[in-house]
Amino acid sequence: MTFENHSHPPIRWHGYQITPIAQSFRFIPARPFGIIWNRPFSVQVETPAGEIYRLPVIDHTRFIQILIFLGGLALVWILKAINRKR
Amino acid sequence: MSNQQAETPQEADLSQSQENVVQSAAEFMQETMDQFMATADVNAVYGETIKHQGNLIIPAAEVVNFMGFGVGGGTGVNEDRNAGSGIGGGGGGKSFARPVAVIVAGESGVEVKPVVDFTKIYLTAFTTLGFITAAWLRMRRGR
Repeated sequence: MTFENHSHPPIRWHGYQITPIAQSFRFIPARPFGIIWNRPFSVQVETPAGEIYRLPVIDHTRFIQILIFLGGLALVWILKAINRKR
Repeated sequence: MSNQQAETPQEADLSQSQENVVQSAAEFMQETMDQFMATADVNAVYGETIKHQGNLIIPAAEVVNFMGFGVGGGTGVNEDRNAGSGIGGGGGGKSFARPVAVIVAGESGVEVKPVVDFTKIYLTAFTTLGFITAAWLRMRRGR
């Protein structure tokens, strides 16, 4: 089970140098079986002035899905607590 | 008992050909596995750049790959001393890709714009709602 970051070759545009970075998760328990999950991780930007910063790539769909699921679990837990009190 | 008897030339040929088939299957599996391992690549996540109205657009997606293989074989001799063999194998895999964001580079700077999949969000919301309703009905019945 490994996590690795891979950098895309830098792209130059209007003086900016953009380097997209991807993260890959490999899970290979036995040799003829495996799962590889690749996701965009961040973008490294170098401005024309030479300043370097990183922009994270956030998966909003996944974030909202987790929020809905956790909200549902919390609501069930609250309903159970109210039901027990009655 | 037949296991202790000497192997006939016919049986030897059979087991040799079976070994060759298993070996070629193993080689094929290894080759496919190597190709599969190569999918953990940054090019799988970031698509080709698009130039549009003075902006550079880089699409970014989440890619998940599953793969599994299996192969097996065996030889045997029946009571009439007829040799037989068989091999079998199978495999499968699936790839999923989903857009996550778009990187837009213009004269004013670089921005990461999210791509929100509303279908997935609605499906999650309806599933969660179903789960809450089922839990609530069970609680009401239990009273």
